[in-house]
Amino acid sequence: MKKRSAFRTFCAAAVCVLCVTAVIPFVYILWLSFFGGGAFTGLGYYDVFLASPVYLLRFWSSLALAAVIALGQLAVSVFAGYGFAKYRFPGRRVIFFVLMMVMVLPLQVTLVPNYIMLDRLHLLDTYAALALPAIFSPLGTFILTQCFGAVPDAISEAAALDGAGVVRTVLSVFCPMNKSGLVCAALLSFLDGWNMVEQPIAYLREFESYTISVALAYTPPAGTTVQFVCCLLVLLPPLFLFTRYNTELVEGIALAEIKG
Amino acid sequence: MKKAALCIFSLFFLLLVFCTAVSFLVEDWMTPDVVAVKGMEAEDPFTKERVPVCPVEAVRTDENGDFVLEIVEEDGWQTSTRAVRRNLDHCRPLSEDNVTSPSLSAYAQYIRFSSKPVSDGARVRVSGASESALGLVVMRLRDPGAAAVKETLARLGFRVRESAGDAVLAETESLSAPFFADEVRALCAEQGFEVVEAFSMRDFGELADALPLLAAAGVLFGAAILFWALFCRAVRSGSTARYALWIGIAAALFGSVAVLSLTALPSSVLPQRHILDLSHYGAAWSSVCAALQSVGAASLADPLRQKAAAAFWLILTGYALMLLFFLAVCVFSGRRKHRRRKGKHFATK
Repeated sequence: MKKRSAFRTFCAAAVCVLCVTAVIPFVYILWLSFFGGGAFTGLGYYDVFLASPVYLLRFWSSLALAAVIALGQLAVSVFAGYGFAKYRFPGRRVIFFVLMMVMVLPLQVTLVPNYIMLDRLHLLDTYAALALPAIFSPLGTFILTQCFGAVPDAISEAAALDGAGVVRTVLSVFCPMNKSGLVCAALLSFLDGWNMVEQPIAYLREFESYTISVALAYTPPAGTTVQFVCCLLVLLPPLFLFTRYNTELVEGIALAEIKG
Repeated sequence: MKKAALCIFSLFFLLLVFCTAVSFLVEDWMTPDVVAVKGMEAEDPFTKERVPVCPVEAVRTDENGDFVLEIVEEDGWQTSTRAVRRNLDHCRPLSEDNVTSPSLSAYAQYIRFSSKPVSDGARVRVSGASESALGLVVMRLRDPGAAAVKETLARLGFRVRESAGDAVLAETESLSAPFFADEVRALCAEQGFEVVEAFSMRDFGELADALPLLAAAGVLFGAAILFWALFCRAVRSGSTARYALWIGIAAALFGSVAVLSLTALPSSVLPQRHILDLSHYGAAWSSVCAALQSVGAASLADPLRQKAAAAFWLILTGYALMLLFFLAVCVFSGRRKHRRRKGKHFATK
């Protein structure tokens, strides 16, 4: 009994230490956003939120880009996942295997081929160069294939008997049944789009087009307080999404794991 | 937890939207207007070489020595027209009006006058042809006993209406918009006396005219926050009115920004660093009132005081009414909930 309670205490202490270690960087950024210059000052917040619209405009453009990527990937993944889960066509396993291989490839491996492809399509130095490769990323397809695969075939047969076509079956039957999978796929693709660093540097030429995650590195040296405030600004969308949809995210990942 | 997250982040969202819109206006208001002068080349009478020169009025001095503020087009985060400090090493006069230094460029533009002090790296707006109008200028002189100050000011186009101690109230028909205190100081310095401070009563009048509009914008912003608070109540209770409340939030925010966009704040009366520096406004207002008091023209400040008072009462009344409305909604909805619960209780019995 004593051994068990000592072990539990040790686990609790270890978890506390891990939590504190994880939270400390954010607290440090928050602290430095007020005390970066030595004394307490709110001028960093004034410079970012009121003095000039450059920071907020870049925040909104990055948010719009990440939202487009998330919605685009969701639209593609829903139908691709349904196809992989419910249709038996020649080469299905091979194609799915290739998809998974592409998914586990490091981003740096595909940067140059993507650059060449985008250059030939005359999409370099446009936001389409960031959005299109991300929209067709295989992660969402993988997650939704697992989620849709867990739905019994009898459901789709019943929907077909009621006169529903493929699109109607997917949108009105499968999607409502797999909300957690959809949220998980959307959330992860949003985070990919929000945190992208290499792609803007590789595919965009003008600083004005850089997303906020990249542009932060170009803050003037005298503006370290501004940089910390921008860090907090960049933190807001992922923080909101995780707080609001953490249950669905965990369920979606768990569902994909069970059937993987 | 999810509802709390929705409420908190919806507040962040509406604040970010509001700040994005207002920051355009604040940046425009706070950008000082400057009169630019081009660098030139002139022949050095000693070395007979062509050297870069700039007018004497463009040279400024502080504890670190002489410098000029060059107007450059920056890129990156600082994309815009900005003033960059260039220290003048080995600066020497070339003629009565020009100075030369190896740090100067014959192709650059330098700030000659500015509507308010400009710091290194600050965004500036090069002023075009400015309109001139009749206006009053309040000045504080370093040496008011200097000989023939009135006559000298009259020669410069300033008709002295009242003067007492170091304060002078003068009328001019060529009051520029925007007002350049630097220009007044430079003109008077050429005539041998120093102007410590110069204020345009027209600019202060414009600021006072803007106060009720700023108050109205503040009340509308408060209305947006009120709608947000009602939204949070609706989220907690699961009411469908929460979607309709966003229309109220959007309308209030739009109204606030629209009112702010009608406001014109002259940069000469605004602080140098940030627009919310209330101590600057207090100090400037005290200086003007003290100068007007000493020349016996304190009544000139009365219309400005009335507008400030109107703005104060507008804000106070607006926020008081909103608070009463919010309390009334809370009490009314609380009573309705209580009646519903009572009704259910009797129904189950």
